Amino acid sequence: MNVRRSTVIKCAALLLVTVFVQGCVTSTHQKITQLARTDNAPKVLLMPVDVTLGHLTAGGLFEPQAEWTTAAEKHVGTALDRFLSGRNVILVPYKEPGNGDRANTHDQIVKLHRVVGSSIRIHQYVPAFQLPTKKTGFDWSLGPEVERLAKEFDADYALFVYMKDSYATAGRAAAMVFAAILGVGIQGGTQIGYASLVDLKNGEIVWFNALGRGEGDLRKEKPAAETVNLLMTKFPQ
Amino acid sequence: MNRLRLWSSILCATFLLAACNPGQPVTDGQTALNDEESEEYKPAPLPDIKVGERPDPSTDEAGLWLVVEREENKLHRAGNLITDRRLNEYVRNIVCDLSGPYCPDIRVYILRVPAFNATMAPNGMMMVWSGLLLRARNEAQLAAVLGHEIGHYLRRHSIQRFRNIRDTAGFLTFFSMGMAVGGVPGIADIAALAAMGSLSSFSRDNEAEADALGAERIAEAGYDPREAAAVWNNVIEEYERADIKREFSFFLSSHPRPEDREKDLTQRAEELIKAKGSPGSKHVARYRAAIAPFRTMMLRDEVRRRDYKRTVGLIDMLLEDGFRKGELHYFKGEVFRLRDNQEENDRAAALEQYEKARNIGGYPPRMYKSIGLLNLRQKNMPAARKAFRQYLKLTPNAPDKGYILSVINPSS
Amino acid sequence: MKQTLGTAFIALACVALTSCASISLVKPGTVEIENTYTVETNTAWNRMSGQVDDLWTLDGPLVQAIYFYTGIEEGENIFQNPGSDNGPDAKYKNMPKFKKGMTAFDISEMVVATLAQSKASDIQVVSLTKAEFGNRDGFRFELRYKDAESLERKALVFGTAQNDRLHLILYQAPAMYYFDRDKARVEQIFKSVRFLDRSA
Repeated sequence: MNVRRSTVIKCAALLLVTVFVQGCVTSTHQKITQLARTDNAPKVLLMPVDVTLGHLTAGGLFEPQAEWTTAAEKHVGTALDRFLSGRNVILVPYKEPGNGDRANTHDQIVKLHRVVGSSIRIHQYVPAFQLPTKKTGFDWSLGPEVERLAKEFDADYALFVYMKDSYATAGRAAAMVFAAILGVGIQGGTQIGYASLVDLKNGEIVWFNALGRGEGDLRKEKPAAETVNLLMTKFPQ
Repeated sequence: MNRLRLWSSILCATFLLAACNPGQPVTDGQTALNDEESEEYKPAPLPDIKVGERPDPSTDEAGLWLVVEREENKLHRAGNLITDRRLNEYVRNIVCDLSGPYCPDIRVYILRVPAFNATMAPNGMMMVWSGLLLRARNEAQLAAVLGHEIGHYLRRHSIQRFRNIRDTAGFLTFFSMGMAVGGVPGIADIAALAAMGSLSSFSRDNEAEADALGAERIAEAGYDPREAAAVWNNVIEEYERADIKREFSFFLSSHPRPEDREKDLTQRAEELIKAKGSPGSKHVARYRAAIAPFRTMMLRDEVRRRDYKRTVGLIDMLLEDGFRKGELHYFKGEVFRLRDNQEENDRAAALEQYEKARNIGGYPPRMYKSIGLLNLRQKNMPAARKAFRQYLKLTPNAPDKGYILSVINPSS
Repeated sequence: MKQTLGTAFIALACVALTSCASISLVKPGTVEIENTYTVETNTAWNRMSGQVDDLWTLDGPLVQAIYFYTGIEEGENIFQNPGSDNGPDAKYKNMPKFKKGMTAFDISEMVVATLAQSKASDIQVVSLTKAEFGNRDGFRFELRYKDAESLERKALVFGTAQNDRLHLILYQAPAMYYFDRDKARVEQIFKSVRFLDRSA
């Protein structure tokens, strides 16, 4: 498929405007409102959090910032831990296995989730790209192979988190104008991401929350907790 | 488009794309920034990198390292990573020899990409493409290229170039991704592109510096420094044989003129030899032994590029070099078979090459399938059947056995 | 076969948007493909029509897709894009072209080389057999490869080069879970091809 680049940019923008204009900051899809609870607290395997923070330069370039990113990874981890334990859920951190084959399979699972997560992000959230066969219900899965994660980590669910945060540099005059038009504060630049919960018994994605807004700050602990709370909107009880 | 949407476009497009596909750029196949842009902007030279040095986390250099580290993590699982222990040790030893105290800071990754390139990132991640291993004629030539890359690393040219790109980049540059990183799976964004480094697209001063450093290092390590010039000679000749116009070659148009480099390197080599008092070694046999298990695969990957004229030119040069000529004739036959140009009499030419290969030896069993296919095309059924049968005899578990049998024994 | 996954999708998406087309529903039943043949499906699919091909998907083209490449003529590559010396179309320039009289082997090599040039790696042909494509002599082969993100994928290719024109149907999906889940549905589509009387 070949399309002119300028068309691609215009389209991409139109797509997101659709979401923004609807006024949604986060939007959740879910199959369950409750985690399966037995005598023991449910265990959620936290997959390596995919977080990047950076500058949005005058030229519109996203330039990653190492110090911010390292801080954000830490704060997001802490905030998730607090959030989950506040709900009587045990957080199991992911550790890469020593065994090469196992590590490869885990890596394939993470890659598959990235692809499926992106697909959800586009097709469930942008009306122009809704898939007619998925008009009702929320039906996405990674397949039963994820059961191995349940066995290897003794976990019931797996949580995937993706965040990309850009912070406007001083030279963003355009951003100022944009902010004025839309009434969006530009303090935090732009923040996008999603979180998804996978049932490790069968691979189904049982909760998915997408986030997109013009504020938020993952660089410090308190605002990071605020972002994480937003990211975890309607997380099953 | 009304003003609201226009501003939304500018700001939102950036992160929609990120949201749609975390970590994936839009590519339009456009080549990366060429030499001109880095010429206009000359940032102040940086001090050399120190052994074990890591940038302060608040700096832009640290941001660059972060991006590169993430790409390096992906590289471990890259589909085209060559993990063979012996080959990796072989290349690593050369790198260690050349880099001295910096050896522990450098990690080498060999990737199956059929193009001549090696890159080095500011954090010590080095990538060597299989296309380079195919084209180097001896260990000294490989060392010359690796030494050159180490030169870029020591002088921190990557961060200079990154700053250049970042400070001059327009919005649309975000979408550019050039051939230089075309073979690497999943590059995240322009910062990664800048960070990856490349044999091309550094400024002329930087290239000259890396050349000088590289030549010194290989001479010191006991290699024949004239082989650095030989590398460029071969590159030039490959392009000439392929009739590639300079402006259309990303590689050539973004390099300082290879003829100039070759001249400078030759002169420098002579000085180094005089100073050392001995010409140094090429290590042909050792090199051939190291790449032998991979040569067939690399030739097949080269043929898959379907750049017929260029591949024939390269094979002819490798035939002059003389390593495993039977195999080379087989692959030359493959090029003719796939090109199948009637005017050039490709079918006959291919069969002629296979015959040469058969007489010399060292061809893969698949050659019989190719002979069968050609005879099938020329409607010579008895010859086709004979060749296919021979192929199946040598490869009883061929994935296309089903199809071949139905061709050999057609049911009425 | 795609540029990068993201690129192809955005591009596809934007074609849909700019041409006022959207993703349409393929209801179970008989469906016409590119004015050339019909297929039957027992399941509903999502469909995106482009300039030279037709794409069906269940979970979005980033995940999996059936591509219908129809009427490829002598001298054309699978995408029917001659490419250019430089610029965004440069990548099409060296893609292998169809020639009359190509056998199934030649076409499988053509698909593999196209994939390799599209940044797939570690490509292997797993099987190659004769097959009926509609009422024409055809072939079928299965591939394994890693995509640009190194996600393992599998592909099934079904086609015919009879009548000097190449028709291909390519199904690709992640090797984990997705490929096997829909393989039977796809095979059923392959088997149901019926050429229209008027087609070449």
